[in-house]
Amino acid sequence: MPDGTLVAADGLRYRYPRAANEEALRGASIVVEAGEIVLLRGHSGSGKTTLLCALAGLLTPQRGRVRIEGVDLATLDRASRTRLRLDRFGFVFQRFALIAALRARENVELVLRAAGVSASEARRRADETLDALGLAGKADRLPHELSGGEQQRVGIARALAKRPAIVFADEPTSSLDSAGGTEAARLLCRLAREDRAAVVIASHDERIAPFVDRVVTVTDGRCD
Amino acid sequence: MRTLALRYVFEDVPRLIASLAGIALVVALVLVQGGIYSAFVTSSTLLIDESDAPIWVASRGMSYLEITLPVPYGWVKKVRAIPGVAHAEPLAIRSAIRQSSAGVLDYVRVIGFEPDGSSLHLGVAQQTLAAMKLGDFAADAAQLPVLDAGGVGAAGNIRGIPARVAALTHGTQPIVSPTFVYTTFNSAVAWTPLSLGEIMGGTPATDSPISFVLVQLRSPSDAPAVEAAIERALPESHAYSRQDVAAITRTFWIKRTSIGFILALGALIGALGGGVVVAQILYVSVNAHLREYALLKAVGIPDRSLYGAIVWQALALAVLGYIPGLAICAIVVAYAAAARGLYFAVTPLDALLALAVALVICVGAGLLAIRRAVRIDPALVFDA
Repeated sequence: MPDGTLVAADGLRYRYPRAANEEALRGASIVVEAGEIVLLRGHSGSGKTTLLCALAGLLTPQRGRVRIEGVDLATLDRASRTRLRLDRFGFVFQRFALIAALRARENVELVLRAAGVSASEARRRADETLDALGLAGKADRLPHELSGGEQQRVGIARALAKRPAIVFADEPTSSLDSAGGTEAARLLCRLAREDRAAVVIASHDERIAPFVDRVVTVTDGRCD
Repeated sequence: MRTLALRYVFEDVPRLIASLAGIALVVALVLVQGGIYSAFVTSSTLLIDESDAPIWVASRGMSYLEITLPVPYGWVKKVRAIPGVAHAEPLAIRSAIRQSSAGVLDYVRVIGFEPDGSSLHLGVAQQTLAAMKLGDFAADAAQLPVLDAGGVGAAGNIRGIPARVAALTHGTQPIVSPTFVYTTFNSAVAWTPLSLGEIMGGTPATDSPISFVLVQLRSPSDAPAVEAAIERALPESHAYSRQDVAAITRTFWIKRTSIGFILALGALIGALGGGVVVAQILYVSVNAHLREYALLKAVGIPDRSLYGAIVWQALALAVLGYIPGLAICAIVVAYAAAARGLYFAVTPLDALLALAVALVICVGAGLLAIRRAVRIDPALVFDA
C-alpha cells in the first residue's frame, strides 16, 4: 500500500442476509488517498451505498478486505470499529439524519462531546463550523425550523467539526433542490479540502462531479 | 448525551405524564405500605409506650400484651412489699361486649388501671384521669364514631352498665385491636366481673384477675435485684422489663399476621406493575427514536453512551415521579389520620427507600427498553 493511502478496499463481495442470490458487491476494489475527494457514481441499486457502508466498517463483507490507514477492519472488534468511526470518520446522510430534539449547534456538539472534546471547545468548534457553512444565526434552531439545505449544512458541519480523516457522504444532494444540492456539495468539498479530509461521496448526481478529484463508477457491485 | 436524554423525556408531554403517574403511584404505594407496616408495629405497643413503669409483672409464658394468663389482684400488695419497689399498681386488660344505639354488638377492650398515681399517662392531664368516677372512661378521639359518642360527656353503656366519655386521647388505639377503653380498675371490674368476689361484690377483690402488675422502682439500678426478688416471692410470675413486653408484643404481631410479608408482597407487585408501565413507555420512546439511535451508532457513539442516555432518562423520570409520589403519600397519611385515626409517618429512611425503589425500577426498565436500540444495525441510517 503506497504512502498516503487512507482507504484500500480489495475484492469486496457482499450479499445482504435476506437477498437470495444477488450480491450487492461483486469484487469491488477502491483506493482513496488522504485528502482525496472521490465520487462513487452509479445508478440506483448499483451498490454505491453498500460499498460506502463497507468502507466505513458498518457492514462486514463476506469476502475481500478493507484497510483504513493500513489497519484491516476485519481484525477490529465491534467496539474498536465504533471508536474508529468516532475518531476518524465523518458522515453525511441522504436525509440529513439530524436529531430532531436537538438544536443545530447541539447536533454538532453531540459528536464532538462523545469524541472527548471539552464542552467549551465543542461549542467553539460547532459555532465555527456552522459559521463557515453560513449558519451563524441559526445555531439555536431546531431541525424542523431549518430548510432542507440548511439541515444538510448542519449535517455537513457535524461531519467536519471533529476534523475527521475521511468523510463518507451518502447521496448528500438527493433530498435537496438543484441549487441547494449544488451548494451543499460545493461546501462539503471546499471545507474538506481546507481540513485536508478525504471524502467519499456515493451519489448519482452529476452536479457533484466538478467538485471532486476523481469519479469512480460503480456498476453491479464493481468499481470500474 | 445528557441533553439529548432529557429532551427525549420532555418532548412528549402525555407520555411523560403517564410515566410520572406510574412512578408516583409506585412511590406512594411503597411509602404507604411501609408506613402502614411501621404504624401497625408501632401501634401494637402504644399502651406499653404510654407507661413509664420499668417492670411489668405477669404470669409465665405471656404471649403478648393482650394474651397472658391472669394473675390475682393480690399480687399487687405482695409486690409493693418487696424492697426497692416504689409503687405497684394493677393493669387489667379485659374484653366487654357493648351494643351500639343501632343495636349492633361490638367488642371493646377495657383497660383497667389506677388513674391516681398511675404509671399510664395517655397524654391526658393527671388530674383529669384522677377525677374519673365509676363508669367514666377515656378513649382515642378517632374511636368516638365506633363508640357512638360525640365527645367528652357522651354517655352510653358497656354490658348494660352506664359509661361516660371523660377524656379523649390521641394516637393510643392499636390498629388491629378492638376499641381501647381506658378506665379505673373499679369500672373495669363493674363492666367485666370475672371472679366470684367481683360478681358478688361488684368491686375488686383479692382474687380479681389482672393482666400485669406495673412496678415503679426506687432506683433504676435496682431493677435486676427487684425482678429477681419478685420472681422469688411469686414463683408463677415473670418480671419483664417494659422493653421486653414491647418486643414480645411486636414480635407476636409480626409473626402471627405475616403483615410485613403481605405488605412487602403488595409493594413488590405494585413496584413490578409500575416497572412494566415505565418499561413500556421507555420502550415506545426508544422505538420512536430508533433511526436516531442508529445514527448515533453509525457516527461512532459507543453503546455505553446509549446506556448512559437511557439511564439519564430513567433518573429524570424517577426523580420527577418521586415528588408527586411523596405528595400522594402525604395526602393518604392525612386522610388516614382524619378519617380513621390511623397515624403513620413517613420517616426520612422510608422516603429514601422509596426513592431507591423508584430509581431501581426506572433504571431497570430503561435498561430493558434500550436493548433494542443497542442491537440495531447502524447501517439502517443509510436506508433512504
